[in-house]
Amino acid sequence: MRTNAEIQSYSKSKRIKNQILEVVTNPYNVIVLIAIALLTYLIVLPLLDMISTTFVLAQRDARSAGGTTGEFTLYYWHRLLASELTGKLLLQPLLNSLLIGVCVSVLAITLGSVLAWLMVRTDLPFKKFFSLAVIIPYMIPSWCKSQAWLTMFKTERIGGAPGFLTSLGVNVPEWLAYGPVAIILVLSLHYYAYAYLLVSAALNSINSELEEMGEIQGAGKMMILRKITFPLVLPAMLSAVILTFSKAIGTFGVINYLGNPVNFVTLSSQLYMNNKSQNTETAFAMALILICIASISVFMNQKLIGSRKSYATIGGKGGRSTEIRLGMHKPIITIVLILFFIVGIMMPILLLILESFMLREGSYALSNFTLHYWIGDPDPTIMEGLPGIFKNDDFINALLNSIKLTFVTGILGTIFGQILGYICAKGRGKLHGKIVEQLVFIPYLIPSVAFGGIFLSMFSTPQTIFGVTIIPSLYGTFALISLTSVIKHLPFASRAGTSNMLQISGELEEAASIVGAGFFKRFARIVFPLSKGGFISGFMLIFVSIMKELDLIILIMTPKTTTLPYLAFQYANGNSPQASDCVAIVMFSIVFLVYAIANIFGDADLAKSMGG
Amino acid sequence: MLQHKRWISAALAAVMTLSLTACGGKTETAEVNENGETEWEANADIFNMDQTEEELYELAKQEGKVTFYSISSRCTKIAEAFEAKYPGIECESFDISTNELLEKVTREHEAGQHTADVVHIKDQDGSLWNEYVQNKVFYNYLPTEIAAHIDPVYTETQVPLYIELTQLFYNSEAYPDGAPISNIWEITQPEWKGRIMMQNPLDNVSWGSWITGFCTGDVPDQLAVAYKELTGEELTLSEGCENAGYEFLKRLHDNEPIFTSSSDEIAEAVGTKGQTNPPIGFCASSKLRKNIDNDWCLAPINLYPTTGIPAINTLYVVEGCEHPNAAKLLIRFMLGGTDGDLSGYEPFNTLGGWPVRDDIEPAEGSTPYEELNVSAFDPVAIYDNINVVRDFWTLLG
Repeated sequence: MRTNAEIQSYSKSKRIKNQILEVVTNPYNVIVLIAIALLTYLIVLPLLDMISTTFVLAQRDARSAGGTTGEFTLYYWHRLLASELTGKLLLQPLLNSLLIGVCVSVLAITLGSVLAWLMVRTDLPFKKFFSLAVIIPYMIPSWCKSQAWLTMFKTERIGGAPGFLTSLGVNVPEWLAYGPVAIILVLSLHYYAYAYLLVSAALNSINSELEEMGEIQGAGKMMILRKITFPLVLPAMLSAVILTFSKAIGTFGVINYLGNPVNFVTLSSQLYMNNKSQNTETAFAMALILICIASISVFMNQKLIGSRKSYATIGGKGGRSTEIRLGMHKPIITIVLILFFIVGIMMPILLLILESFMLREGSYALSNFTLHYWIGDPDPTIMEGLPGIFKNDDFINALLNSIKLTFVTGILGTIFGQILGYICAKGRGKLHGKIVEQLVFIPYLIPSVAFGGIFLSMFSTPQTIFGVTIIPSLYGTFALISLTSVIKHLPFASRAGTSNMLQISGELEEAASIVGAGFFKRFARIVFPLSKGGFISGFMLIFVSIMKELDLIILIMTPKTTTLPYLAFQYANGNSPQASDCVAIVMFSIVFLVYAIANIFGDADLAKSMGG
Repeated sequence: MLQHKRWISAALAAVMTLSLTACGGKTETAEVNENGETEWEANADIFNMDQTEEELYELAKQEGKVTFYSISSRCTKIAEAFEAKYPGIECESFDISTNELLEKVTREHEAGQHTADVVHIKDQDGSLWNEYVQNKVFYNYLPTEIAAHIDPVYTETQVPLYIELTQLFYNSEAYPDGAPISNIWEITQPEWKGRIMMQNPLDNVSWGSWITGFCTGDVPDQLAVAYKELTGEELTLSEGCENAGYEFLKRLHDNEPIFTSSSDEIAEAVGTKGQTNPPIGFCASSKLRKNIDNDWCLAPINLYPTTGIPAINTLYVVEGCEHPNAAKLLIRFMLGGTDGDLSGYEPFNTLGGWPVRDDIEPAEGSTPYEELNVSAFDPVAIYDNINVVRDFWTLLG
């Protein structure tokens, strides 16, 4: 006869067994487990590598730290957090970073969301044109915009040819030309693309019946915007805030360019300066601090999103979209937009194009214009004898590599991103969802060169577990470049995925589940088709970013796998900025073309799938 | 639900353990033969400085290839010239900036991927000598015949290719009567407040090394003397300034130099014609080359008592490389060889770069190197002090 206790323990163990069985046989759980394992391997491992680096004494610091090379040390953290250097090395730059981060976020999100709303929900004229043009600033490299800024506002302070306004006799104040204000404006003009892409994808999926209902109840336009539209796109906006904020505190180029003349330093520029001065340990410690800050912003986002019930806008019912009339504001808004495009978008591009045709920099005489850098034959007196880019085999090779890399990475990255986004959305408020969301975000703030370097080390030898080779050595392969790029850009794709998936109502999947559709069928037939809008925005974010990527992959490249940005760097390094501009223009053209195609076909598809 | 969480944390823990074991250090001590050489050293015959070019070419042909990483975009030209002179050996070059080059080659070496045979870089802060050559990651290969033509001052710790400088430049259109200053202390005077351009010394290792050069060796003493010659007074050191070098840096900092993000910007700012009140600025001597290309009027100032330490371009053979003989041949070729054919050196022989060999003439229009006030480069002193000086500058604000 069995005792009560025995029966209890039997049933308890059986229950556990059943629960385990249920967990393992559910494809969703399996995917979550695989995702977490992979992310841990590909993201936590590099992070641990960085952390351990900051605790090991480097040869060069052995003397000042009073230890021996390679031993455990708190020297770097002590120096950063609690020494006389703390103020200058950490606190002041950190405050500056936060200032930039917060201001850029506010400006960029506002600008991006307003533009998205205008493009998607209103009867703005020339919409097709505007919606193509609106994303261009993000495609132009940010140094190009800083350069345009200086060409416009440069003062006598930094010598050289006078700025455009100064040459017209306008007295440009220094606080506008250099420093935080200039940086915030230029970065906002760069990063509003995140908000624009994410928010417009979200708005596209909102059934305007919701807004019309409000109208019937007598709510004004502002009230509808505030009480209906805004809450529904909140997840997309918050995703954009995270992307923008993290990117703004992690960026370096623009800050260096516009901040240096007035000695304005942020934590990210301190990080890069230390990195370039071979103080890797200090640089990594700073990167870890930045990662913590970004992690806090993701955490706050989880709290905000988690406290709300639902954002589902893609339900079982068909939806349609009615445009909101702008009425008498229409001409004013149109003119403001056109001006914005001319100043913010056309200026930097024209400057770039103009320079690519100039034999000598800075001379605007007609005789100085040439096609040499595009199609010229080798001339020993120009560009150290290199031919124009279209006659250079290296260019063709780099072009093909870049196209291959951007497409492969863009598509793979977006698919993984959507799956991870699905996990984040379904696991909202649950531990596994939070873990995935945090993990995915870490690569964003690991400095690109460091990230590439760590991956180079990791995958240059075969990866084995218990003597079994899991991954062969990927050294020098295209696969390694793609893998590194995909992981580094997961945050984009998964943010786009998450905000998208949050909008898809669970009832659709439940209905399919009732009629017997399995997990994979549900994902392929329901979730995936409905998330096309987010898929395309995610793809574009990755595609554009990888097209411009150099730091991340320069260590992994071999002479045969070089890409366009490498060539641009090489030309600039070899004192041929014009040829470098040519390459930049080609990069921009490809990105723009792909965006235009995605925009045209993407819209058509989206409209069809939502047409109900 | 609880089980669910446990599963995940268990999986996490498992993966983390795995990753940690994967991280575990692997220190291998290389086996040495009776001469105290490792297998690679013996096979590569890396300490033999007396092989002729013909001998090396025969051996190199069997290797068939050589790869070099270089900080100069001119490396593609070198590769072409090398292939033209030594058919049968493919020469691959990769142009990459200093920091990334070191990172790449270090990580590849650690992972056992011996891609690069030769490295062309500058040992600016002494780390190449102290960390790479001393630790036998890089090898100095300087053939005896060529060494005979180079001042031994330059060859103690490195194989020098050519010398560059960080020079002070002025606008020769605005100052037609010659340099507006000559004594280095003049740039700390009120007249030049906010009108000196340079890169932030904290920016990178090259600027960090350069400011460190003022604080080490006999340079501080020279600076103190020069101060007295200029002002007639003894130099008084401020609090926290160990010697005249630190004092000079402090006063330079207090004179609010304008920082830019690249040497090019400085060259443009100083050299652009048609300015009424152009600044003066420190930048790489090689920018002089752009004078004609861009119609600038940059002119160098030979500062007294010193224009700082030189930036010496150096060549190394990478440990474990697969084409050591081709590597040695390429280094000989780049150093100008011994047969009078300079096609491997010529691309580097331009304005603002000075050859180290006494049998190679500098580019036309160069100031003879002997006439320039340049401090000696001591890789150990710079290496030991660079972070001290960086921290000093950081504290200045």
